Amino acid sequence: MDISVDRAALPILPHRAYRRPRAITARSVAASLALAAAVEALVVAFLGDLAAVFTRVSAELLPGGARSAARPFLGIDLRPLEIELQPLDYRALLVWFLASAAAAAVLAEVKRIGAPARYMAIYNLVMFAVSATYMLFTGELGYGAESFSDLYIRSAVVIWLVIPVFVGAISLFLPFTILERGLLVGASLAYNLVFSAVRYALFAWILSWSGAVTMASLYLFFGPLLDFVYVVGVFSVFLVPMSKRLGREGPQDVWTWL
Amino acid sequence: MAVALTVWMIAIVVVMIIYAGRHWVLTLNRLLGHQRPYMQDIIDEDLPGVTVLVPMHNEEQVADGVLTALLAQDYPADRLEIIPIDDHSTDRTQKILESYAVRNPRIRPIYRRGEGARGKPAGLNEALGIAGNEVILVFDADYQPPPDIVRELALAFLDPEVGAVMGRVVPSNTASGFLARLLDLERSGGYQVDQQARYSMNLVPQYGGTVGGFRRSVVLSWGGFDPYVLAEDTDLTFRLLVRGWRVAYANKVECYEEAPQTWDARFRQLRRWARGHTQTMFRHWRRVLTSPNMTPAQRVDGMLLLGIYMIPPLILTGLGLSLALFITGTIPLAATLLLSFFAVGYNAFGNFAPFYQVGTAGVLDGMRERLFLLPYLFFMFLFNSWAVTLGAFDAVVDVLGGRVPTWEKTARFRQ
Repeated sequence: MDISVDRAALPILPHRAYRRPRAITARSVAASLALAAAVEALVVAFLGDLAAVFTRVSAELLPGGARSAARPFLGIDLRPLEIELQPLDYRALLVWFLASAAAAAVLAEVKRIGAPARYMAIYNLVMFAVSATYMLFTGELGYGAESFSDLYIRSAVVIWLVIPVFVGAISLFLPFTILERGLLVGASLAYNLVFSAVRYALFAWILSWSGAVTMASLYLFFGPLLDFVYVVGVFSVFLVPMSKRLGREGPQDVWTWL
Repeated sequence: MAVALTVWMIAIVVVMIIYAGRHWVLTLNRLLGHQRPYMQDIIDEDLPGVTVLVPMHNEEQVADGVLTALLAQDYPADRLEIIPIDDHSTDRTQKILESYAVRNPRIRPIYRRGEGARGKPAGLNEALGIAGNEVILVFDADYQPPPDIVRELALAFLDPEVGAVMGRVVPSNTASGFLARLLDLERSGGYQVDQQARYSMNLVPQYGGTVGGFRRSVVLSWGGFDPYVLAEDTDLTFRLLVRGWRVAYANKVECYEEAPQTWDARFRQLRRWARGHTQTMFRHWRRVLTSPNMTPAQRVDGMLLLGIYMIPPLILTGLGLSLALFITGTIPLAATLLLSFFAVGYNAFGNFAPFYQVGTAGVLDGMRERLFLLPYLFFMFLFNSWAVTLGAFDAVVDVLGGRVPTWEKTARFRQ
């Protein structure tokens, strides 16, 4: 006796609990993969040029900004910014430590500020205090100005290489149109290029007056972690119109159930 | 020392990658896999008798709402019993319950006073002692059950293998502010994608302690709930699974709740959840690994579920280690290409996984402008991590020091 069931014929009401987007097909996945591969190929082909423009823009933005001699990385020449670190004597370090610790203690008690904002501020203040303490005893951090600059630009280059693959992958199984997929990858990459260049100059400027004590916070909190936040932001910007479009079209055209 | 720190750091990242992988697998299942429906279109005149329990402690703001909604249920009146459990209330809760009980014989309140264990599990035990039906459903006092919810949830128990059922929780107070909107996004990801995928994949959907139910005789067979466990819901889930019972998940059975509206209330709630869940982890991990009644996939998912509140402490440890490794320059990050790719790749794919899950859930739910809030979930990261870390630490102290935890109720905000 044949007891197989045609799942599509089951009398399931169109409830949102069991719906899935209909538009995800082998063809849409293949198109998305091809798009991501094409953008990735372009990034790889022009990686050296991108890096050159990137550091030139940062140097232009930074008052008195200069680039160091070329250093090879992934087959291209990188010319990181030359960062002047403000020297800090033990008194300055003591002030950094005390001010950061006091500010963190005060913030912990100021309930009028939203808790997430307070926690993030405290996290950064703790990093200042720990860095200042370490420098008080050792005189310097493990990373100097040159290695920090190297670290930043290498991270940026790796992120450019990862973004097309990553954003292509996250759009793969959601019902974006091919145009939306292209714009999502392009916007994420373009925003990263501009944002990273401006931030590079800003970091160099901050380090020129704050010294190495803010270095850990700049890299560990305001560095690649923040890149990830704006990728989520760009993703959400594209999710909203897509969700609206799905809502406008007939449910049977957009969704499949079970 | 440097080697030990590095190994520890890599171990943390490996654990986080495993959890990120789990998010990806569950989300892709929800998008691409066949969805397992809950009991659908079952018309049965032989509906089971149901006892609804409503634990309450100082619930004068919300008691009226939940009782009115329960009395309006589309369920045979002679098969529905409602037991509000007034647990040492000091406000008008008792008066409200008395007024309802006088007018409605189906409502049989319990007033818990005096000595003895307090809190939800102890209250449930007392109510189980007088409940007249085998099927027990539980709603928290701030919930607003729709008229068909008792019928929908009770249907699960027509399947003799089902030991517990869980419905979907949806915040009703999203207009109250930023926090409630963010929690709405989190809940959407947790139920629409995570729970449904675990149910579809025959893994470990979780009974959540409210908008759900269980069999009275099964819970009584092991002596009822442990009054000193803060997460009696997770405890019940794992007790059932290791004994061969199934937990059904009803994604289409939605019930509104009041989400916390202040950061302080949310912090306390998270800390309590983490403490209770971690207690349960210590209690059940061996049984989960060795239970002959669970499939290998269920064992893996069960262990991941049990350990989920240990991730934030690990993340905080990782942040501390990152700082230590950075300021000491122990790892030559700048010179190590592989490590750079690894760090950036993990940062992208690993951290993004929960956001992808929530975004997908939002699209499936038909959310629109609310999805713009997705990146703001990141800003709760340190807040959540700290609350959960303190809760997990509480649990470790409880277990090692023999400390008895006390129940703390989530604040209500309805006017």
